[in-house]
Amino acid sequence: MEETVIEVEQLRCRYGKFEAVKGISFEVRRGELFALLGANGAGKTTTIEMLEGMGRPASGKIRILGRDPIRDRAAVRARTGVMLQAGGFSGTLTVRETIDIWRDLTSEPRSTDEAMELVGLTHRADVSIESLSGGEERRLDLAVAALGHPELLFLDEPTSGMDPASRRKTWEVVRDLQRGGTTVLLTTHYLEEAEVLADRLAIMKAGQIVMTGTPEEVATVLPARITFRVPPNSPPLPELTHATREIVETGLVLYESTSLQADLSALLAWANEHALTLPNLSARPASLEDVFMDVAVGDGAAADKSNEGALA
Amino acid sequence: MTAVLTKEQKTGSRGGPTSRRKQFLAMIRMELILLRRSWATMGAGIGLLAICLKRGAEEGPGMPGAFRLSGTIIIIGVFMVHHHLAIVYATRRQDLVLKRLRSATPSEATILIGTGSGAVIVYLAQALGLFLFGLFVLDQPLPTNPLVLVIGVLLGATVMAAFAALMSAITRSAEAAMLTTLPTMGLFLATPGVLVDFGTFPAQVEEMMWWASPLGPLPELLRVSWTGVAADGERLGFLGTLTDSLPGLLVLVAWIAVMAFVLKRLFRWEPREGRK
Repeated sequence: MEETVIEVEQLRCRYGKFEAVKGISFEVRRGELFALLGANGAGKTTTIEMLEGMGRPASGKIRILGRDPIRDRAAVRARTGVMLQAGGFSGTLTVRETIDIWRDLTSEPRSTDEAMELVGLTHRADVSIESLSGGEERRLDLAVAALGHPELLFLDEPTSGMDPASRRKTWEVVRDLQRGGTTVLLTTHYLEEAEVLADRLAIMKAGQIVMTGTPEEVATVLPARITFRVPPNSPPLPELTHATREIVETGLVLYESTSLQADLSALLAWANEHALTLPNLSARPASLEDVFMDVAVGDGAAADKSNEGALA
Repeated sequence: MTAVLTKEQKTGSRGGPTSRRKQFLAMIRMELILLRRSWATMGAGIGLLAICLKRGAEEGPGMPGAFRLSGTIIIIGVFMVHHHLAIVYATRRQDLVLKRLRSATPSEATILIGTGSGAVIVYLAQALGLFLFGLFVLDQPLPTNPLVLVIGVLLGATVMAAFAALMSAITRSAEAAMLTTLPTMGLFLATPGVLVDFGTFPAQVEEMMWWASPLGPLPELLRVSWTGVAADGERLGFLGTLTDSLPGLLVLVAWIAVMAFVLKRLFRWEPREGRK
């Protein structure tokens, strides 16, 4: 059994003049859940579809379970499961009919009842697909993708259109599948989803991977944040050794600290010395969301830092 | 929901590996269920058959029923296996069914043929209906060469289905497919011996059409294999009709080979705007 389940090297894809994916590289190891995170149009779907063997790269190398997803199509497909970004089922078929038909299209499938049970659709067995909610249809899609106990699951925005309860249930299913040994590659634009599920993630922006690592690693790329309101009659604010200071709006100060504990201690010592109460004091490490907003939406200062060697 | 599966459950529910035959049968099953649920299609299919039966019953001057029915069998195919099937392909593409199937184990050929199977099966039933009508109501003779008759109908259906797949590929939506097939429908229906009888057009025009229309040889094939009367009026037996029909059959096979080559390159598996 290969330990590297997905291997991508210098992958590029273009549609006409538009280069959708600009030379990305990453690896996914067996049993891992790897998330491609990015805003719409970042190139996530183009990437996952090339890995699924649906789109042909302009250049670069893809190995899925050690094989080429297009040339070795038959061998690869038998071991993978795919959930597209949307749809793929005919509306007038019922849930049960759809799974029954897909069982015959899949090697060594689960039973229909087991598949419906897996995603909690047993009570909707005889409902036609056009009558399902968006979230239920996504869950049916997941059941079909997982029908053949795949070694590798591709999930393209698996919880888009789901209400929060449905989303949590789906996360449980994905975790169960992963616990059963399935390697998962998923794309998402929900930060929480990546934070909760991913062992490792890559943030994509404009066709490139701007950052990669565990959610914790990625979050620590940006400095921690200390904020409070400047108290009335305050003496001049102190300089903190590991932090930069900034007045974000009238009366609200933000320190960005690379050493939260040391700087916070110094700040509190200063406040005690002057007998000050700091209104709305908050201190927290950077979150994945901060990093994401910074690199995928903002100017990408954090990405520059990671390129300086903060992350492998 | 929180189904953590034990090893026994997993292995217990596993069937054998899926075969091409099993996949193909599953696709036929899917298409037939969808067809049954589509009342518009069923209505159109039966209505069309009724109109064609009426047409078959009208004897033209010097036109035995079998001649008429041969053309009528093709007409019904143009509507069912070409026009309707192009809409089916466009719909499955629009609903991303084709893309979803292609992301899984079935081969491209299995998906393409499987998706066409529903329309082809209905068409064969309609053709059989017309044939039996000819036999029992119009008192037509049994076919001289049933083998060529059946192969001819099958090859003709394949050609029309292949063009349906191609026309659907240059169509944006299922609604647009109703229009995109009009030129090819026109071409098929204008094939001498389909909508208009042989001899209506000048001989050169008919010969040109024989080559230009992918269904060119088909009307002749069906007539000769059914009645045993060649184009020049000579009476042929089983072997005679076989040799007489061979060139026509080969032309149809050649069209199918060309279309397979073209579809391999031009068939679209997902809507154009489907990518981000």
